[in-house]
Amino acid sequence: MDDTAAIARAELTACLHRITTGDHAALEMLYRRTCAKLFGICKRILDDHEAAEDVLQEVYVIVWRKAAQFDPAQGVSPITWLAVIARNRALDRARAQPRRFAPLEAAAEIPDRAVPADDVLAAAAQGSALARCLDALDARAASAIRQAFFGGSTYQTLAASAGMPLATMKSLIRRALLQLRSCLGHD
Amino acid sequence: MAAFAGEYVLGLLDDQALADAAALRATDGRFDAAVATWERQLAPLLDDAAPVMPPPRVWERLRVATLPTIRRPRSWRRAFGGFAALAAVAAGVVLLAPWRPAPPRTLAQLTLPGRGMFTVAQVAYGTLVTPRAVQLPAGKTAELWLITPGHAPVALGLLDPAHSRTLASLANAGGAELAVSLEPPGGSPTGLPTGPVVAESIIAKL
Repeated sequence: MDDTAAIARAELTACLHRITTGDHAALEMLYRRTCAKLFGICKRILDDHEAAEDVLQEVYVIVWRKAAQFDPAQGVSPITWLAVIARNRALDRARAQPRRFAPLEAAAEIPDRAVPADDVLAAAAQGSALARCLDALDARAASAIRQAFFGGSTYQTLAASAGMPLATMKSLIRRALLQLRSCLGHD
Repeated sequence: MAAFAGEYVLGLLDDQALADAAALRATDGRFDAAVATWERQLAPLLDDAAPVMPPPRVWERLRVATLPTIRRPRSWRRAFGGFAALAAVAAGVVLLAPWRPAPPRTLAQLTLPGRGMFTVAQVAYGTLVTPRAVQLPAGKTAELWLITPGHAPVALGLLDPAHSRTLASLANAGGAELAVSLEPPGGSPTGLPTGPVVAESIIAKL
């Protein structure tokens, strides 16, 4: 982790700590620093701009109420913690309204590795480990996992978009997940 | 189990397996931990989503939804609430009513003179705006605004004269004001009301 990432991490951790005391200015600072990152995630998962805005607001209301649940001792960076909440809320919303997932064609246009932003999740040591472990996988499995992570994929759609039989896709992914697990080391 | 947790996090499971996984999460701490580990370890994939700056209205709504002065009950209310509960117990009132969803509570009524009204109510999943016999002038749409002192109006969305719509919760915005303006099709082009304000109401404090 370089200095910029370490400073960003310390600042966001301090914001979350201040939010637990009801410090509204800390919420605003956290929002200004992270909203583009989290809105990008919501927009990528949800097709509907308005739904993405609603989910973004919901995420920060959750953070406002539950900042105390963030525990830096667990080795999670603040931006990862926030991004996981945003992804889960966006997926919940998309599942409640099945046609609200962003179309897969749109997802396919986005390059596998986007230009790093200020608070890249990959800045954590975990990010580079994941990239290394994904590179070691069967390329079709790695690409399917990247695609599936943004939601709306089933084994059927993954098999169809890769042009392979369903059973082959299932065993490919399961094998890749086990391989990933041993590469990343699950605690 | 690790592969199953991974499939769950990737959202690949069919409905039946999804229900199994959700049940397992609630009962098996190890499965729940495996899910959390996958979420954390795969999170760097979220870097593939390019950052997008949200429109300013999201912060304005969030600010209102989290305003400390609106969020926290005043201490006398808390004290009175405690006293009332104590009095109820003392009076032998049985408080074990069967659980049911909270009934809708009216937050505001926006009357458009001679053109019907919109009711704004808090329901279990958010704030619901329902039109009642609303008739808009031809070629105009109704746009809803949230107005708080010292801030520019915040657009909450277009109101359909024939169908109700759900908004992010306004339950914490008691005391702020709602207004409806008439705008061109598609809503205000400037992000601020451009047409006449045809209805106004203070949001009730719940």
